[in-house]
Amino acid sequence: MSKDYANYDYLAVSVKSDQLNRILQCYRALGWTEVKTEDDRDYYDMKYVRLRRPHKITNKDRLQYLQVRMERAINSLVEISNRAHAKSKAALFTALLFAFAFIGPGLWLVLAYDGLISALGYICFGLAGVIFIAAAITCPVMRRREQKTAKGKIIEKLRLTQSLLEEAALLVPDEPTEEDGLDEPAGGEEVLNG
Amino acid sequence: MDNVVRPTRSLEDRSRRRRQRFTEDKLVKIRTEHNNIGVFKTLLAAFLILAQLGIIIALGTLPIFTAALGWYLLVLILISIFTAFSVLSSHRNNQAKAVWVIFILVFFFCGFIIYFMSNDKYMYARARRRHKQIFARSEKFMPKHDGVNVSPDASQTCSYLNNAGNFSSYNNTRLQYFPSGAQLFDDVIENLKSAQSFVFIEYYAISDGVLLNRIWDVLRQKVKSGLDVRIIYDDVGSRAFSHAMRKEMRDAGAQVRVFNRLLSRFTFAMNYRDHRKIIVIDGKIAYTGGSNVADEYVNEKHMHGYWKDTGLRMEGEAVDSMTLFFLRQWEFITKQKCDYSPYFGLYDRFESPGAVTPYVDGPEYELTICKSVFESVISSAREKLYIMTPYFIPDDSVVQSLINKALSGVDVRIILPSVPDKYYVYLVTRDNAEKLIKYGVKIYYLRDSFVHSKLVITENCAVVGTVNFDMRSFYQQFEDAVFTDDMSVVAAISQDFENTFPDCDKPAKAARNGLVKTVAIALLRFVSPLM
Repeated sequence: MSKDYANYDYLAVSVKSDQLNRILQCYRALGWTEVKTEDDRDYYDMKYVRLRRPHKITNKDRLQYLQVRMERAINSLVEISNRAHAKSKAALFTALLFAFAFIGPGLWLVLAYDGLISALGYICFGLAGVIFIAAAITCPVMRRREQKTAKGKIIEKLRLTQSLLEEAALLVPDEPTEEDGLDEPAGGEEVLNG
Repeated sequence: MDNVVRPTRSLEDRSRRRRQRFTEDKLVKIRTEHNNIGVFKTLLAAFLILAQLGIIIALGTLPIFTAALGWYLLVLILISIFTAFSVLSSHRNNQAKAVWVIFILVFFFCGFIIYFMSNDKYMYARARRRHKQIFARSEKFMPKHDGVNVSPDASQTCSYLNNAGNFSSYNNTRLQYFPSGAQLFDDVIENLKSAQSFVFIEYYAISDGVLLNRIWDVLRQKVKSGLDVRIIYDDVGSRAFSHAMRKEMRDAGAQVRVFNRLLSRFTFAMNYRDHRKIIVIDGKIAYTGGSNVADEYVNEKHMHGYWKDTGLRMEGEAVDSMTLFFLRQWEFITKQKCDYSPYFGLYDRFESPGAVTPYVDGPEYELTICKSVFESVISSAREKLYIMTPYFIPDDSVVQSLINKALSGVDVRIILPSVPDKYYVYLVTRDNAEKLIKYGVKIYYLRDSFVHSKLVITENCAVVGTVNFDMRSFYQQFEDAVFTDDMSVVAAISQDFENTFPDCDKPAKAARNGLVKTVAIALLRFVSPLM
């Protein structure tokens, strides 16, 4: 398919297959039209979408700005989800590390020595136990807090995305004009999907 | 959960590896203006340091050279002391002097070599002499403009520019401000279509892509019909300007020249880059601004969020100056004497109330013209002073001027990026900017964006160009800009600022940094005069 760069801007995005319709709606709100959708060559769970928009669309600068913010907001949802429990995981890992650091020497002291030195080994076991219990109590609490924070952030990002798209909807012309450079798809090559 | 959207450029761009699950965490991981030359120089510096250490170890361990070691070290120390004195007596700014002296004395075995290799006095002396010859010759061709009407507030800056670099001021020039790179280049392409005799293009970064194709589609036809098309690109900035594209342009008949190739590889003065952005069409229209000829500058590609850039179109008398700046650089690069006269006086006359003074700066000038113009503009502000810049690493005198203005009740606002292109520079930029908050300077970060515009306005004048608020722009790079008191442009730029403020985050106080960040900033601040 030949591209008409004089009249159109083109965009190609790889989108998660299960989110395709939702994401395409966002791009449509920003004035983009799907030209072709196909399987991504690199990733089996992605769709490769080609879009185009009149090069001289009105309010282009603002639409570009809104688009970037929307893309970053959508992708930040992923980051927020992926990193939601980072602190509690780190805390659990550190606790386990310390606990095993006590268990190792404790085991050695108990097995190798008798009497007072052996008692030190049992103290080490005790400390490891305390760490285990502390981790078992605090980590779920931390996790719940993190979940709440992440949820708040996600809602904030979704609201932001929604407001960006609402603003975009007001900026995108309803009917494409000739001045916008929009014409009929060339030779029926373009397949609209979505 | 994985990323749901991942902008990609084209099917052809993607590798043909086996299909797999998408696991990337980031949106884009590409960078522009990256500097492979820096890697080469780092290796060269490392080699010099290791070679010197090798010599010292060899002299120390081999019995026959043991006596020579003491003498060798003494000579190195004496050279270092001599070099340190040389630094102290140079015309550098005081911060840079301090950093260099410490560096030379601590690394006495190699510091002086690196200093001399990065010193324009020695590495750029011949080039500067050639520049002076070109200046002297080219000045004769410039038509004189006397009796220019300049507003009282702008007259001092115009006088400075006239005297410091012989930069003429003009009336009868129509200016058009573009608040984005996309608008700028749409206008450039429209005007290229009607070009009739010559097109001069000088850019720091020219990269293959949609924008270059759009421009070249127009220029190709023009070159075939005999139009004189000349392009200067910087070797470091235009890493993505492919050999194939350059060959295609040359084969079609365009003259394409590179700036500063050899010097960039074999001196440490890596900052002598041609950072100018100039387009001249038929001697009638000229453009400048922050935007380069690359897709990210027009948001065809998103590399650091939204790319905020600006530009300025000139029509009328002032175009002659932009033509002169380009032809001088052309003569410097080609080493062929140029007949300037056919390229001047081709403009249409426009009635305009304001004065326009285009100017350039670079190692060919002994004065720090760009910095002085900024200082002059800052000092002329009575009500407001708005700045937009990607980097904020000025020296103490500029910082002090800003603080004084803010404390005097002037509304000082600085718009900076919220997405960095170079993280280490951004750390210092944020730290420098946020330290001004307590004095009343308002700092703004444009959300999800990289601000690449270089603007300074007051209530009565404006500067638009390529000059960043950093040491490289002030002291080392070839820059160009336009100073004007044309109130229509000042109002347009002011409106752009007003439109941008609502999209910014404005911190109420300086951010508190952790220990690691504080140490990193302290180290970066120490070397910031050399950044």
